[in-house]
Amino acid sequence: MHATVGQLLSFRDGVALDAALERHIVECARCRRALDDLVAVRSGLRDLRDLTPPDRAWEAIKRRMPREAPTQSVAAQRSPWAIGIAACLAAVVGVVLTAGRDGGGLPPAPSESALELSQDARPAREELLARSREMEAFLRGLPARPRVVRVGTAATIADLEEGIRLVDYRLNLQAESGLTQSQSQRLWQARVDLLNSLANVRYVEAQRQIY
Amino acid sequence: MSRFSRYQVDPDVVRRAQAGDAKAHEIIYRTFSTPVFTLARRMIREPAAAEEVLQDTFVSVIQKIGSFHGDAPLWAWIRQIAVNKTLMLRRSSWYRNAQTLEDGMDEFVATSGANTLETNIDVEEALRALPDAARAVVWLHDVEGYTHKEIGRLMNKSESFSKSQLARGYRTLQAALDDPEEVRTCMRLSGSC
Repeated sequence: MHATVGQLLSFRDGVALDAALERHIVECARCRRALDDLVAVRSGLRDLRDLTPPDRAWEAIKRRMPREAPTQSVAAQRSPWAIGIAACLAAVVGVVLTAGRDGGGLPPAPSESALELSQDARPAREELLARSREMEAFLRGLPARPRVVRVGTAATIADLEEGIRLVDYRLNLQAESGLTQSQSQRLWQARVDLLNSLANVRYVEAQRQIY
Repeated sequence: MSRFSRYQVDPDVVRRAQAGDAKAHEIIYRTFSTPVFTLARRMIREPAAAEEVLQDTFVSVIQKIGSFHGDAPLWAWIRQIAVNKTLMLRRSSWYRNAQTLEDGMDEFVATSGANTLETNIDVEEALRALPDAARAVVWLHDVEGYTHKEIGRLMNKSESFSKSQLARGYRTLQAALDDPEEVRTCMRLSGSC
């Protein structure tokens, strides 16, 4: 009976095993060969070269940094609809951050919020999932983003994408945090709203690219 | 020892970064962007997702640098943020639903001799062919030096989960390295063996 890969890995990593098993690994030619292979694979992994990130990454990070005191030039470049979207995003983030907290349900969203829908008026979760998929398909169908973009547009898109990630993160924690059906539905509604806004902004950006 | 430990910045740069100096932020980025991007690329397949992790990591690093007290080396602090961001992205439905993007294997061409090149590409492809969880565990354990207990905690799983994923990963890696052509074909066909 030879050692398993798991046992050989433990032996390789210096974990104490049953004395008889350790003796077998040392004395058995086949197990020694298998152990050598494991060591060689690890060396191969450690020898893989580092990968250099694309040059554009730092510029993208700078754009995403919160502006403690936004300059007029940047603020001015945000179009009115972008400011509206930002307000909507803030509401969505509020919903996401509070969803699923221990001991309490969602606080009522402000009545003026686009998220405030009566139970009857809310689309079914399946419908929201379908809309979400449609939006994602639409976004995938858009041409690649231009290399040079307006600062305001880039910032808005980054904000929306961050909001979507935040919603996804919360949805992924759904099982652990025990969201109610209603909370889950609100998150999916928020996701659809954000995707919708993102689709609008990306569509306008794509049109600018064409014309 | 972690690959990150090869990278260091002057303590004065950290102090300046904590004071909000944009130039210091950039120095930290320039110093650590390669190990962060490498970690992300090894743990997740899609280049676009790895770039996302890179951005998320440095946005957090710059935002939170004020809370870095120097109890651990800066590289360890940044690595922890990068690992968390990578695992968070891997868990997201956005990532899971994302289409597999272009293979991007061209960028893995190394600059050393032919034998090393061939070996590197084999290992690279074999690693990429692993299932997500096994790939992450193999990299964190065998290259970054995390213990099974730490990996289990990071992935919200048990220590034995990490051990079993490592063993599973190695069985697949060895099979792939024994027959690399099969892995290449598999990667070309599905991108998700």
